[in-house]
Amino acid sequence: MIIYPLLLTAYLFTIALVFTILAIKEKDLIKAVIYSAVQSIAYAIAFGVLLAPDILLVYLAVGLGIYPVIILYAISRTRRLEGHG
Amino acid sequence: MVKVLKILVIMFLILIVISTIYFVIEDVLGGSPKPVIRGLGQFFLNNTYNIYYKKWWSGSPETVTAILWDYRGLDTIFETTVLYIAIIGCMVLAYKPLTNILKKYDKEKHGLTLIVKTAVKIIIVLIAIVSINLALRGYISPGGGFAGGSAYAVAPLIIIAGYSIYYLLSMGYSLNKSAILRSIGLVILVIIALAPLMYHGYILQNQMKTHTLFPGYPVNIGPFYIGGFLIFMNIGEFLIVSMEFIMIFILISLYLRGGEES
Amino acid sequence: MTITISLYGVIVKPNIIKKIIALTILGDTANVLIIFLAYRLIPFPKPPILPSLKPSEEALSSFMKSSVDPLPQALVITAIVINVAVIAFLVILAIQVFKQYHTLEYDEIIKLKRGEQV
Repeated sequence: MIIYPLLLTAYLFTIALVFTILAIKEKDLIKAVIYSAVQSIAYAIAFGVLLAPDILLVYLAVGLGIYPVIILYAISRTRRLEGHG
Repeated sequence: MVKVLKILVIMFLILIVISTIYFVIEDVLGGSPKPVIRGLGQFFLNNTYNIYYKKWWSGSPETVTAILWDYRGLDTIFETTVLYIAIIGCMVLAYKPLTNILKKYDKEKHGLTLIVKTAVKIIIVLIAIVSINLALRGYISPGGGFAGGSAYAVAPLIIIAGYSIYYLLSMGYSLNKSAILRSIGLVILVIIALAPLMYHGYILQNQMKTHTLFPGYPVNIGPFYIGGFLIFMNIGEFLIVSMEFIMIFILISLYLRGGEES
Repeated sequence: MTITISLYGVIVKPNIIKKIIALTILGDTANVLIIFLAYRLIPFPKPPILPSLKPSEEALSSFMKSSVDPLPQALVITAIVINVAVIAFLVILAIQVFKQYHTLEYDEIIKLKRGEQV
Protein backbone atom coordinates (compact mmCIF):
# COMPACT_ATOMS: atom_id res chain seq x y z
CA MET A 1 0.00 0.00 0.00
CA ILE A 2 2.74 2.41 0.92
CA ILE A 3 4.86 1.52 -2.04
CA TYR A 4 2.36 1.93 -4.91
CA PRO A 5 3.03 5.64 -5.58
CA LEU A 6 6.78 5.04 -5.42
CA LEU A 7 6.53 2.25 -8.02
CA LEU A 8 4.56 4.57 -10.28
CA THR A 9 7.18 7.31 -10.02
CA ALA A 10 9.93 4.78 -10.77
CA TYR A 11 8.08 3.75 -13.94
CA LEU A 12 7.63 7.40 -14.98
CA PHE A 13 11.30 8.18 -14.37
CA THR A 14 12.30 5.24 -16.57
CA ILE A 15 10.19 6.61 -19.41
CA ALA A 16 11.80 10.03 -18.92
CA LEU A 17 15.26 8.48 -18.98
CA VAL A 18 14.61 6.69 -22.29
CA PHE A 19 13.36 9.87 -23.95
CA THR A 20 16.27 11.89 -22.60
CA ILE A 21 18.79 9.51 -24.15
CA LEU A 22 16.91 9.67 -27.44
CA ALA A 23 16.84 13.47 -27.35
CA ILE A 24 20.57 13.86 -26.84
CA LYS A 25 21.65 11.34 -29.44
CA GLU A 26 19.45 12.76 -32.17
CA LYS A 27 20.99 14.80 -34.95
CA ASP A 28 17.82 16.37 -36.28
CA LEU A 29 17.08 19.22 -33.88
CA ILE A 30 13.29 19.33 -34.33
CA LYS A 31 12.95 15.71 -33.28
CA ALA A 32 15.08 16.44 -30.22
CA VAL A 33 12.67 19.17 -29.17
CA ILE A 34 9.67 16.82 -29.51
CA TYR A 35 11.40 14.16 -27.42
CA SER A 36 12.12 16.67 -24.70
CA ALA A 37 8.46 17.71 -24.68
CA VAL A 38 7.36 14.09 -24.16
CA GLN A 39 9.77 13.79 -21.27
CA SER A 40 8.21 16.94 -19.88
CA ILE A 41 4.78 15.27 -19.88
CA ALA A 42 6.20 12.35 -17.88
CA TYR A 43 7.54 14.77 -15.27
CA ALA A 44 4.20 16.56 -15.03
CA ILE A 45 2.42 13.27 -14.25
CA ALA A 46 5.11 12.58 -11.62
CA PHE A 47 4.30 15.91 -9.97
CA GLY A 48 0.68 14.81 -9.76
CA VAL A 49 1.49 11.44 -8.22
CA LEU A 50 3.71 13.11 -5.59
CA LEU A 51 0.74 15.30 -4.54
CA ALA A 52 1.87 18.80 -5.54
CA PRO A 53 -1.00 20.42 -7.49
CA ASP A 54 0.40 23.95 -7.48
CA ILE A 55 3.61 23.01 -9.21
CA LEU A 56 1.77 20.88 -11.77
CA LEU A 57 -0.16 23.87 -13.12
CA VAL A 58 2.96 26.04 -13.44
CA TYR A 59 5.02 23.26 -15.01
CA LEU A 60 2.40 22.36 -17.62
CA ALA A 61 2.23 25.92 -18.90
CA VAL A 62 5.99 26.43 -18.88
CA GLY A 63 7.45 23.10 -19.90
CA LEU A 64 4.94 22.23 -22.62
CA GLY A 65 3.95 25.58 -24.01
CA ILE A 66 6.93 27.90 -23.70
CA TYR A 67 10.18 25.94 -23.95
CA PRO A 68 9.53 24.02 -27.20
CA VAL A 69 8.14 27.10 -28.97
CA ILE A 70 11.07 29.35 -28.04
CA ILE A 71 13.60 26.72 -29.13
CA LEU A 72 11.66 26.24 -32.39
CA TYR A 73 11.99 29.98 -33.03
CA ALA A 74 15.75 29.66 -32.58
CA ILE A 75 15.95 26.65 -34.93
CA SER A 76 13.94 28.38 -37.65
CA ARG A 77 16.39 31.25 -37.75
CA THR A 78 19.54 29.10 -37.76
CA ARG A 79 20.37 25.66 -39.08
CA ARG A 80 18.16 22.64 -38.63
CA LEU A 81 20.66 19.77 -38.65
CA GLU A 82 23.65 19.72 -36.38
CA GLY A 83 27.07 18.69 -37.59
CA HIS A 84 29.68 20.11 -39.90
CA GLY A 85 28.59 21.45 -43.28
CA MET B 1 36.28 16.98 -28.11
CA VAL B 2 39.53 15.17 -27.49
CA LYS B 3 39.26 11.50 -26.52
CA VAL B 4 41.04 11.81 -23.18
CA LEU B 5 38.79 14.67 -22.06
CA LYS B 6 35.71 12.65 -22.94
CA ILE B 7 36.81 9.71 -20.80
CA LEU B 8 37.55 12.02 -17.90
CA VAL B 9 34.10 13.61 -18.16
CA ILE B 10 32.38 10.21 -18.18
CA MET B 11 34.29 9.06 -15.08
CA PHE B 12 33.38 12.26 -13.26
CA LEU B 13 29.72 11.76 -14.14
CA ILE B 14 29.72 8.17 -12.85
CA LEU B 15 31.06 9.56 -9.57
CA ILE B 16 28.13 11.98 -9.44
CA VAL B 17 25.65 9.13 -10.01
CA ILE B 18 27.01 7.03 -7.17
CA SER B 19 27.14 9.92 -4.71
CA THR B 20 23.62 11.11 -5.59
CA ILE B 21 22.15 7.65 -5.05
CA TYR B 22 24.01 7.35 -1.74
CA PHE B 23 22.81 10.69 -0.42
CA VAL B 24 19.21 10.19 -1.51
CA ILE B 25 18.74 6.70 -0.13
CA GLU B 26 20.58 7.14 3.19
CA ASP B 27 19.55 10.59 4.31
CA VAL B 28 20.21 10.84 8.02
CA LEU B 29 20.45 7.24 9.37
CA GLY B 30 17.32 6.10 7.61
CA GLY B 31 15.73 5.99 4.22
CA SER B 32 14.19 9.00 2.62
CA PRO B 33 11.31 9.95 2.10
CA LYS B 34 10.32 9.45 5.73
CA PRO B 35 7.06 9.13 7.72
CA VAL B 36 7.85 12.27 9.76
CA ILE B 37 8.54 15.49 7.88
CA ARG B 38 10.94 18.23 8.90
CA GLY B 39 10.22 20.63 11.75
CA LEU B 40 9.85 23.77 9.67
CA GLY B 41 7.27 22.19 7.34
CA GLN B 42 5.34 20.87 10.33
CA PHE B 43 5.31 24.36 11.85
CA PHE B 44 3.82 25.81 8.68
CA LEU B 45 1.19 23.06 8.51
CA ASN B 46 0.17 23.56 12.15
CA ASN B 47 -0.19 27.30 12.04
CA THR B 48 -1.73 28.36 8.78
CA TYR B 49 -5.51 28.41 9.15
CA ASN B 50 -5.56 27.29 12.76
CA ILE B 51 -8.68 29.12 13.93
CA TYR B 52 -8.43 27.86 17.50
CA TYR B 53 -5.01 29.37 18.20
CA LYS B 54 -4.62 32.57 16.29
CA LYS B 55 -1.17 33.65 17.28
CA TRP B 56 0.71 32.79 14.07
CA TRP B 57 -2.07 32.17 11.63
CA SER B 58 -2.37 33.44 8.08
CA GLY B 59 -5.84 33.72 6.70
CA SER B 60 -5.92 31.18 3.89
CA PRO B 61 -6.46 27.41 3.84
CA GLU B 62 -3.91 26.98 1.07
CA THR B 63 -0.50 26.37 2.58
CA VAL B 64 1.71 26.97 -0.45
CA THR B 65 0.29 30.41 -1.30
CA ALA B 66 0.55 31.48 2.34
CA ILE B 67 4.22 30.42 2.44
CA LEU B 68 4.99 32.24 -0.81
CA TRP B 69 3.47 35.57 0.22
CA ASP B 70 3.09 35.69 3.96
CA TYR B 71 5.83 33.71 5.66
CA ARG B 72 8.46 34.05 2.94
CA GLY B 73 7.40 37.14 1.04
CA LEU B 74 10.88 38.57 0.47
CA ASP B 75 11.90 35.57 -1.65
CA THR B 76 9.10 36.30 -4.07
CA ILE B 77 9.97 39.97 -4.31
CA PHE B 78 13.58 39.19 -5.15
CA GLU B 79 12.46 36.69 -7.75
CA THR B 80 10.44 39.45 -9.40
CA THR B 81 13.64 41.51 -9.44
CA VAL B 82 15.51 38.71 -11.21
CA LEU B 83 12.81 38.57 -13.90
CA TYR B 84 13.09 42.33 -14.31
CA ILE B 85 16.86 42.19 -14.85
CA ALA B 86 16.48 39.38 -17.40
CA ILE B 87 14.00 41.37 -19.47
CA ILE B 88 16.31 44.42 -19.40
CA GLY B 89 19.10 42.21 -20.75
CA CYS B 90 16.88 40.91 -23.55
CA MET B 91 15.81 44.39 -24.55
CA VAL B 92 19.40 45.63 -24.77
CA LEU B 93 20.25 42.91 -27.29
CA ALA B 94 17.14 42.66 -29.41
CA TYR B 95 15.25 45.93 -29.39
CA LYS B 96 13.89 47.18 -32.71
CA PRO B 97 11.82 50.35 -33.07
CA LEU B 98 8.35 49.43 -34.25
CA THR B 99 7.48 52.53 -36.29
CA ASN B 100 6.91 51.34 -39.87
CA ILE B 101 6.40 47.68 -39.23
CA LEU B 102 2.72 47.37 -40.07
CA LYS B 103 3.21 48.20 -43.71
CA LYS B 104 4.51 44.70 -44.36
CA TYR B 105 1.25 43.02 -43.39
CA ASP B 106 -0.32 41.03 -46.23
CA LYS B 107 -3.37 39.09 -45.20
CA GLU B 108 -3.23 36.27 -47.73
CA LYS B 109 0.46 35.55 -47.70
CA HIS B 110 1.21 35.31 -43.99
CA GLY B 111 -0.11 32.70 -41.63
CA LEU B 112 -0.96 29.02 -41.80
CA THR B 113 -4.05 27.31 -43.27
CA LEU B 114 -7.69 28.00 -42.45
CA ILE B 115 -8.07 24.93 -40.20
CA VAL B 116 -5.29 26.12 -37.90
CA LYS B 117 -6.74 29.61 -37.74
CA THR B 118 -10.17 28.36 -36.67
CA ALA B 119 -8.70 26.12 -33.99
CA VAL B 120 -6.63 29.01 -32.66
CA LYS B 121 -9.73 31.19 -32.37
CA ILE B 122 -11.49 28.65 -30.15
CA ILE B 123 -8.50 27.88 -27.97
CA ILE B 124 -7.49 31.40 -27.01
CA VAL B 125 -10.88 32.16 -25.45
CA LEU B 126 -10.65 29.05 -23.27
CA ILE B 127 -7.09 29.86 -22.24
CA ALA B 128 -8.03 33.39 -21.19
CA ILE B 129 -10.95 32.22 -19.02
CA VAL B 130 -9.00 29.44 -17.30
CA SER B 131 -5.98 31.60 -16.57
CA ILE B 132 -7.97 34.42 -14.95
CA ASN B 133 -9.83 31.85 -12.84
CA LEU B 134 -6.56 30.32 -11.67
CA ALA B 135 -5.10 33.70 -10.73
CA LEU B 136 -8.07 35.09 -8.81
CA ARG B 137 -8.79 31.98 -6.74
CA GLY B 138 -5.21 31.45 -5.67
CA TYR B 139 -5.90 31.46 -1.95
CA ILE B 140 -8.57 28.75 -1.89
CA SER B 141 -7.69 26.27 -4.61
CA PRO B 142 -4.31 25.41 -6.14
CA GLY B 143 -2.99 27.93 -8.63
CA GLY B 144 -2.09 31.45 -7.74
CA GLY B 145 -0.29 34.23 -9.55
CA PHE B 146 2.42 32.18 -11.26
CA ALA B 147 0.15 29.54 -12.75
CA GLY B 148 -2.34 32.12 -14.01
CA GLY B 149 0.34 34.30 -15.58
CA SER B 150 2.13 31.46 -17.33
CA ALA B 151 -1.12 30.03 -18.69
CA TYR B 152 -2.23 33.41 -19.98
CA ALA B 153 1.05 33.98 -21.82
CA VAL B 154 0.50 30.89 -24.01
CA ALA B 155 -2.37 32.61 -25.85
CA PRO B 156 -0.39 35.29 -27.76
CA LEU B 157 2.20 32.63 -28.53
CA ILE B 158 -0.36 30.58 -30.42
CA ILE B 159 -1.53 33.69 -32.24
CA ILE B 160 2.04 34.36 -33.39
CA ALA B 161 2.37 30.79 -34.64
CA GLY B 162 -1.00 30.49 -36.39
CA TYR B 163 -1.36 33.96 -37.77
CA SER B 164 1.75 36.08 -37.97
CA ILE B 165 3.47 38.58 -35.71
CA TYR B 166 2.05 41.50 -37.69
CA TYR B 167 -1.47 40.41 -36.82
CA LEU B 168 -0.59 40.46 -33.14
CA LEU B 169 0.86 43.94 -33.44
CA SER B 170 -2.19 45.20 -35.30
CA MET B 171 -4.42 43.76 -32.55
CA GLY B 172 -3.05 46.25 -30.10
CA TYR B 173 -0.25 44.46 -28.29
CA SER B 174 2.96 46.43 -28.23
CA LEU B 175 6.05 46.69 -26.09
CA ASN B 176 5.05 49.98 -24.48
CA LYS B 177 1.64 48.81 -23.33
CA SER B 178 3.04 45.61 -21.88
CA ALA B 179 5.68 47.55 -19.96
CA ILE B 180 3.05 49.92 -18.56
CA LEU B 181 0.81 47.08 -17.35
CA ARG B 182 3.81 45.34 -15.83
CA SER B 183 4.71 48.45 -13.89
CA ILE B 184 1.13 48.75 -12.60
CA GLY B 185 1.39 45.23 -11.19
CA LEU B 186 4.70 46.08 -9.52
CA VAL B 187 3.20 49.24 -7.97
CA ILE B 188 0.33 47.21 -6.46
CA LEU B 189 2.85 44.83 -4.88
CA VAL B 190 4.99 47.60 -3.44
CA ILE B 191 2.10 49.61 -1.96
CA ILE B 192 0.59 46.62 -0.17
CA ALA B 193 3.99 45.49 1.08
CA LEU B 194 5.00 48.87 2.50
CA ALA B 195 1.66 49.89 4.06
CA PRO B 196 2.16 48.26 7.50
CA LEU B 197 5.21 50.44 8.11
CA MET B 198 2.93 53.33 9.06
CA TYR B 199 1.59 51.44 12.08
CA HIS B 200 4.99 50.27 13.37
CA GLY B 201 4.58 46.86 11.84
CA TYR B 202 7.03 45.09 9.57
CA ILE B 203 7.04 44.78 5.80
CA LEU B 204 4.58 42.24 4.30
CA GLN B 205 2.59 41.73 7.48
CA ASN B 206 -0.74 40.02 6.98
CA GLN B 207 -2.54 39.39 10.24
CA MET B 208 -2.27 40.80 13.76
CA LYS B 209 0.81 39.91 15.74
CA THR B 210 1.35 40.60 19.44
CA HIS B 211 4.45 42.78 19.24
CA THR B 212 3.19 45.32 16.68
CA LEU B 213 0.29 47.75 16.47
CA PHE B 214 -0.95 46.89 12.95
CA PRO B 215 -4.48 45.45 13.07
CA GLY B 216 -4.00 43.31 9.96
CA TYR B 217 -5.72 43.19 6.62
CA PRO B 218 -9.40 42.17 6.76
CA VAL B 219 -10.31 38.54 6.25
CA ASN B 220 -13.95 39.06 5.36
CA ILE B 221 -15.51 41.84 3.31
CA GLY B 222 -19.26 41.50 3.49
CA PRO B 223 -20.26 38.00 2.42
CA PHE B 224 -17.01 37.37 0.52
CA TYR B 225 -14.03 35.64 2.01
CA ILE B 226 -10.77 37.46 1.26
CA GLY B 227 -7.69 36.00 2.88
CA GLY B 228 -5.92 39.13 4.04
CA PHE B 229 -3.83 40.67 1.26
CA LEU B 230 -3.40 37.47 -0.75
CA ILE B 231 -5.92 38.26 -3.46
CA PHE B 232 -4.30 41.58 -4.37
CA MET B 233 -0.85 40.04 -4.42
CA ASN B 234 -2.10 37.35 -6.78
CA ILE B 235 -3.56 39.96 -9.13
CA GLY B 236 -0.29 41.89 -9.15
CA GLU B 237 1.81 38.79 -9.79
CA PHE B 238 -0.52 37.71 -12.63
CA LEU B 239 0.00 41.06 -14.38
CA ILE B 240 3.78 40.95 -13.90
CA VAL B 241 4.38 37.39 -15.13
CA SER B 242 2.04 37.47 -18.12
CA MET B 243 3.22 40.81 -19.47
CA GLU B 244 6.85 39.79 -18.94
CA PHE B 245 6.46 36.66 -21.08
CA ILE B 246 4.57 38.55 -23.80
CA MET B 247 7.43 41.04 -24.06
CA ILE B 248 9.94 38.21 -24.46
CA PHE B 249 7.89 36.63 -27.25
CA ILE B 250 7.53 39.85 -29.20
CA LEU B 251 11.27 40.56 -28.93
CA ILE B 252 12.30 37.07 -30.06
CA SER B 253 9.98 36.88 -33.03
CA LEU B 254 10.95 40.27 -34.41
CA TYR B 255 14.67 39.71 -34.06
CA LEU B 256 16.02 38.58 -37.40
CA ARG B 257 14.71 39.04 -40.90
CA GLY B 258 11.39 40.66 -40.21
CA GLY B 259 9.95 37.83 -38.15
CA GLU B 260 7.89 35.41 -40.20
CA GLU B 261 7.43 31.88 -38.99
CA SER B 262 9.33 29.78 -41.53
CA MET C 1 20.50 9.18 -13.68
CA THR C 2 18.86 11.79 -15.85
CA ILE C 3 21.00 14.43 -14.17
CA THR C 4 24.18 12.79 -15.44
CA ILE C 5 22.89 12.26 -18.97
CA SER C 6 21.81 15.88 -19.31
CA LEU C 7 25.12 17.06 -17.82
CA TYR C 8 26.89 14.93 -20.42
CA GLY C 9 24.80 16.61 -23.09
CA VAL C 10 25.67 20.09 -21.85
CA ILE C 11 29.40 19.52 -21.64
CA VAL C 12 30.24 17.27 -24.59
CA LYS C 13 27.90 18.04 -27.49
CA PRO C 14 29.25 20.87 -29.66
CA ASN C 15 26.04 22.38 -31.00
CA ILE C 16 24.74 25.33 -29.00
CA ILE C 17 21.02 24.61 -29.38
CA LYS C 18 21.56 21.01 -28.24
CA LYS C 19 23.24 22.42 -25.15
CA ILE C 20 20.21 24.61 -24.45
CA ILE C 21 17.82 21.64 -24.76
CA ALA C 22 19.95 19.62 -22.34
CA LEU C 23 20.02 22.58 -19.93
CA THR C 24 16.22 22.67 -19.74
CA ILE C 25 16.12 18.93 -19.01
CA LEU C 26 18.71 19.40 -16.23
CA GLY C 27 16.71 22.14 -14.51
CA ASP C 28 13.49 20.13 -14.57
CA THR C 29 15.14 17.02 -13.18
CA ALA C 30 16.60 18.94 -10.25
CA ASN C 31 13.15 20.27 -9.34
CA VAL C 32 11.59 16.79 -9.44
CA LEU C 33 14.32 15.50 -7.15
CA ILE C 34 13.46 18.14 -4.52
CA ILE C 35 9.75 17.25 -4.59
CA PHE C 36 10.52 13.55 -4.39
CA LEU C 37 12.37 14.10 -1.13
CA ALA C 38 9.41 15.95 0.37
CA TYR C 39 6.98 13.05 0.32
CA ARG C 40 5.51 11.44 3.43
CA LEU C 41 5.60 7.61 3.63
CA ILE C 42 2.26 6.85 5.30
CA PRO C 43 -0.56 4.72 3.82
CA PHE C 44 -2.80 7.61 2.65
CA PRO C 45 -1.06 10.96 2.28
CA LYS C 46 -2.95 14.10 1.31
CA PRO C 47 -1.96 17.31 -0.54
CA PRO C 48 -1.26 20.38 1.64
CA ILE C 49 -4.65 22.07 1.13
CA LEU C 50 -7.37 22.31 3.75
CA PRO C 51 -10.63 21.33 2.07
CA SER C 52 -13.12 23.48 4.01
CA LEU C 53 -13.31 26.96 5.44
CA LYS C 54 -14.67 26.01 8.89
CA PRO C 55 -12.86 22.86 9.99
CA SER C 56 -13.62 20.95 13.14
CA GLU C 57 -10.96 19.90 15.65
CA GLU C 58 -10.42 16.37 14.41
CA ALA C 59 -10.40 17.45 10.74
CA LEU C 60 -7.65 19.95 11.53
CA SER C 61 -5.54 17.45 13.50
CA SER C 62 -5.84 14.76 10.82
CA PHE C 63 -4.75 17.33 8.23
CA MET C 64 -1.73 18.16 10.36
CA LYS C 65 -0.65 14.55 10.63
CA SER C 66 -1.19 13.31 7.09
CA SER C 67 -0.19 15.88 4.50
CA VAL C 68 3.05 16.21 2.59
CA ASP C 69 5.69 18.87 3.15
CA PRO C 70 4.66 22.26 1.76
CA LEU C 71 7.96 24.17 2.02
CA PRO C 72 9.87 22.72 -0.98
CA GLN C 73 6.86 23.29 -3.23
CA ALA C 74 7.01 27.04 -2.64
CA LEU C 75 10.73 27.16 -3.45
CA VAL C 76 10.33 25.07 -6.63
CA ILE C 77 7.69 27.42 -8.05
CA THR C 78 10.15 30.29 -7.80
CA ALA C 79 12.91 28.22 -9.36
CA ILE C 80 10.81 27.24 -12.39
CA VAL C 81 9.97 30.85 -13.27
CA ILE C 82 13.57 32.01 -12.90
CA ASN C 83 14.69 29.17 -15.22
CA VAL C 84 12.36 30.43 -17.94
CA ALA C 85 13.88 33.91 -17.83
CA VAL C 86 17.46 32.58 -18.04
CA ILE C 87 16.72 30.23 -20.96
CA ALA C 88 14.96 33.00 -22.92
CA PHE C 89 18.02 35.22 -22.54
CA LEU C 90 20.29 32.38 -23.67
CA VAL C 91 18.21 31.85 -26.81
CA ILE C 92 18.60 35.48 -27.81
CA LEU C 93 22.36 35.21 -27.24
CA ALA C 94 22.50 32.09 -29.44
CA ILE C 95 20.77 33.88 -32.33
CA GLN C 96 23.25 36.76 -31.95
CA VAL C 97 26.20 34.32 -32.13
CA PHE C 98 24.83 32.84 -35.35
CA LYS C 99 24.39 36.31 -36.82
CA GLN C 100 28.07 37.09 -36.29
CA TYR C 101 29.90 33.81 -37.00
CA HIS C 102 27.44 32.07 -39.38
CA THR C 103 27.90 28.74 -37.64
CA LEU C 104 26.69 27.15 -34.44
CA GLU C 105 29.34 24.54 -33.70
CA TYR C 106 31.57 25.27 -30.78
CA ASP C 107 34.83 23.95 -32.41
CA GLU C 108 34.40 26.11 -35.49
CA ILE C 109 33.70 29.21 -33.42
CA ILE C 110 36.95 28.75 -31.49
CA LYS C 111 38.91 28.34 -34.74
CA LEU C 112 37.30 31.42 -36.26
CA LYS C 113 38.12 33.46 -33.18
CA ARG C 114 41.78 32.49 -33.39
CA GLY C 115 41.92 33.63 -36.99
CA GLU C 116 42.44 30.31 -38.79
CA GLN C 117 40.16 29.00 -41.51
CA VAL C 118 37.58 26.31 -40.92
